[in-house]
Amino acid sequence: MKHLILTCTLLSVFCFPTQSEAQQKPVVEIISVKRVGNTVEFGLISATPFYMGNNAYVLYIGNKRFHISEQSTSEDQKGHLKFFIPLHTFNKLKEGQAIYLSYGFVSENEAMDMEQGSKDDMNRQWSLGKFSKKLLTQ
Amino acid sequence: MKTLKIIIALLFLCCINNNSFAQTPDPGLPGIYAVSKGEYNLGDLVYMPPSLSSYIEVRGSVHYPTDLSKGPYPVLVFLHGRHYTCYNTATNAANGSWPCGSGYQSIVSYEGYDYLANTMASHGYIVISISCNAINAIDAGLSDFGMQARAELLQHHLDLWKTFNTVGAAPFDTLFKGKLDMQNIGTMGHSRGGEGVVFNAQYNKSLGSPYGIKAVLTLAPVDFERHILHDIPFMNVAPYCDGDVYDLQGVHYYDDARYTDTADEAAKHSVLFMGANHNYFNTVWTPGSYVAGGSDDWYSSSDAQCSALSPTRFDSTKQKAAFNAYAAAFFRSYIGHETSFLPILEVKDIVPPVSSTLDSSNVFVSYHPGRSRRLDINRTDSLVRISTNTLKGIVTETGLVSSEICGGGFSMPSCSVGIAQPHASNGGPVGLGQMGMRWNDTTEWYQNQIPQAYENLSYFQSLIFRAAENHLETVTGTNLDFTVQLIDSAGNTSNQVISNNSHALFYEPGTSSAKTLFNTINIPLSKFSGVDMTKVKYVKFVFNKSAAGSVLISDLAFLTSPCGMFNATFSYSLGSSYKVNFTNNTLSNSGDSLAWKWRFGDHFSGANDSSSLQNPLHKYSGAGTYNTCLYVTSYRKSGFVCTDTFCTTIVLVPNYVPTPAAEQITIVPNPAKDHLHITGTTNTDVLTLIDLYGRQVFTTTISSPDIYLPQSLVAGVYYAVITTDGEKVYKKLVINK
Repeated sequence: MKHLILTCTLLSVFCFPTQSEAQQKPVVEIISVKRVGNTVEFGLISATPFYMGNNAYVLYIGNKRFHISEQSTSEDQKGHLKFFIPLHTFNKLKEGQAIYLSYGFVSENEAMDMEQGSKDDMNRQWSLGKFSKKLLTQ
Repeated sequence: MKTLKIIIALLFLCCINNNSFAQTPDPGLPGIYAVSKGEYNLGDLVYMPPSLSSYIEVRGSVHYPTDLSKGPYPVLVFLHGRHYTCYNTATNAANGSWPCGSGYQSIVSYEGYDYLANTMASHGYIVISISCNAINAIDAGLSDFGMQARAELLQHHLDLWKTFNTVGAAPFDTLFKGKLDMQNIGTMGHSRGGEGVVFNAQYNKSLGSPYGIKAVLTLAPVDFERHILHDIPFMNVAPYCDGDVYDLQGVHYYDDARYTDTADEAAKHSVLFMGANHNYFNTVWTPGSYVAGGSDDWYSSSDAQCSALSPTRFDSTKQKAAFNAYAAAFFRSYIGHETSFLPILEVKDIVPPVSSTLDSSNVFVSYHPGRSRRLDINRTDSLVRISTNTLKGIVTETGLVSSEICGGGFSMPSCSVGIAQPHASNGGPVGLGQMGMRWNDTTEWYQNQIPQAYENLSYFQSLIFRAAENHLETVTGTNLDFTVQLIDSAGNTSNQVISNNSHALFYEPGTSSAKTLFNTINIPLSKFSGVDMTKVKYVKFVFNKSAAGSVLISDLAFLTSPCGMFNATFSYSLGSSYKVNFTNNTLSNSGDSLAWKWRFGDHFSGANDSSSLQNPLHKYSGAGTYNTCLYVTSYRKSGFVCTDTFCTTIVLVPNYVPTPAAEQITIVPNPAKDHLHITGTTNTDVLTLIDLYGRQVFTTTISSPDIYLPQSLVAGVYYAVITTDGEKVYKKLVINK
């Protein structure tokens, strides 16, 4: 039995590297929240570039969703996303609400599973902590 | 004597075969034309769409028959989706900026569909594929994701091609002058380009339809804005292993448009490829086929259905072959009007074309016919449909564990379909209402009554509905089956088992990829032997083939042929001197435009041997036997052109004395109250009522045997004067009030 376990472990480490690689989900973090005129720029950074695909990146703060954004890749090959939130909307957001980044809009049913989605290996949802107006740095 | 019934679509002619699994021609094979390719590039920042405040590129390619002399040719326009726009020529690293900076080259996503462009050009199409990189670079910042700008860009290219087609311009000079049929255009958009072509079809219409957009295909599209497209034949392609638009939101285009315009005659199709991903439809987005930016978008290496190593995943060659065949079937049907491919799209033939390289477990099709081709039994579109169907027939079930309407604005969880169904309305305007049924005993059933007014199915070909297993309520891996029964008013019953007609009831495979998708099941009525098709009373689903299970159904309907209720026939009456009055009695669908052509079989009458009148009078050359034919052409709102012919033999004897017109004509009832039924007249004869003072009080053409009298007509005695063939026939008529 011990040999079998060892063999399986070795196989998983050496023989299926692409599988392990594919399941690694890049970490996404809030890097900045700053005011520009009447807009708040909500900046996110990812260890790898955000996917340049066809679904939409959507920022959820509580039950509010924001999709007006700008996607770019820096020379360090990290991913950068900025969401633009109208200042008056930002000011109405409630403290302590969960913040999620989602690739694709989610239905009301799915919204309940965002936390689970942020934990699985699919590059669809990321939990970004709790909202606070103190995030606004400038 | 009926001699011929054919369907003609423009220049092409083919018989629709009623049989399932017919030998449908392969639409994806190369055609007869040699193909040439051209490119045009007016610059990276040369056009500002009205909805944008920045300039974008105007660039594209064209595939066309090398021999343009047989033009004008129909036109297809392709619009790619969102992808990396530029790559570093030193490192091949891709980015999403525009225009490309120094040391970068633009990524030519518009060339990724050349394989389909080649196929279609070889069949006599001019295929344009346009670049959309600039919009892709900025659309995240636009509230509509750049969809209106895509529509405007496509329209701008059509304007440009109008110039190429009329006066010519650089870089093609006059090569394409007069070679494009700008009134017969099909569009195909991939991903965000899919929503772009839907927007364009609506934008073109809003401009007064300067171009004839006659077919729209969306390939793995987004549907962020939930626009609903009507009146244009439509097909959506959904790849089961889409890792980008993973919610397969393009199914909404089909679902939302089914019943929102009750006069919509355009067919809708949706094709599901079980092993396809998002990117491999485009060779430029396919790893190894282009220098930069390609990837397999499917995200999990452990999914049994969709991981790259799974035997059920399509490789890029298979995926392109599949799309090539089904896209060709769609465009050749609705732009080329080659009706021979319709069995593939109408789910009459579920064996995939050989060129697609698929087998029938790889591909499933949904089909929603145009309005006049359907008799909707149960649209499953409101909560009342659980007890009363769309025909107002009674819906009953016995013993089901659960049966309810869900989706389409109703609670999805009530059918336990949860989040794994792309058809969920997801906040959109319509979605897919559906009937969920769960059983755990093989005696359980569900039944729709057909009211007497609809029980005659003589003009219908098939029973169609969409169905899916509810995999959340079905034992893992179990393919379900059940029996469909038709029952006539005498109690005769005939059965058809689903699995003998369709593979659409399957347990949705995969782990992270598993999702419930509806597919059409089409059962020819000819298979229900022993049932009187003029008196069908019930359509019944008997769940006797699987011990337990849960299915979802929608869109239960009967389907007519493309010509619907169309049957040419005429009657005639003999007159004196070899004159014969013909009356057209052709049965046709409301809304169709008809044209008549008569051949009297009287060759000695020269040019008078034919007529295009609806009800002609012909004077034959003399006594004899004549084979007289009526050819009726029906121009359907769906775009189909149908013809039907009725011929009969007329024997004229010498010195025939016809029954006097007065004796042929009858008026009942007499006394009459508010209407008359008149026989023995033609529909050009005229009825006039004259009172006893000689005043003309009412006159009308007898276009129908039933004449409704004006309420102002007072009781009394009148003369009914019928003017027929220049002769007046008088009848006394009493009106009682």
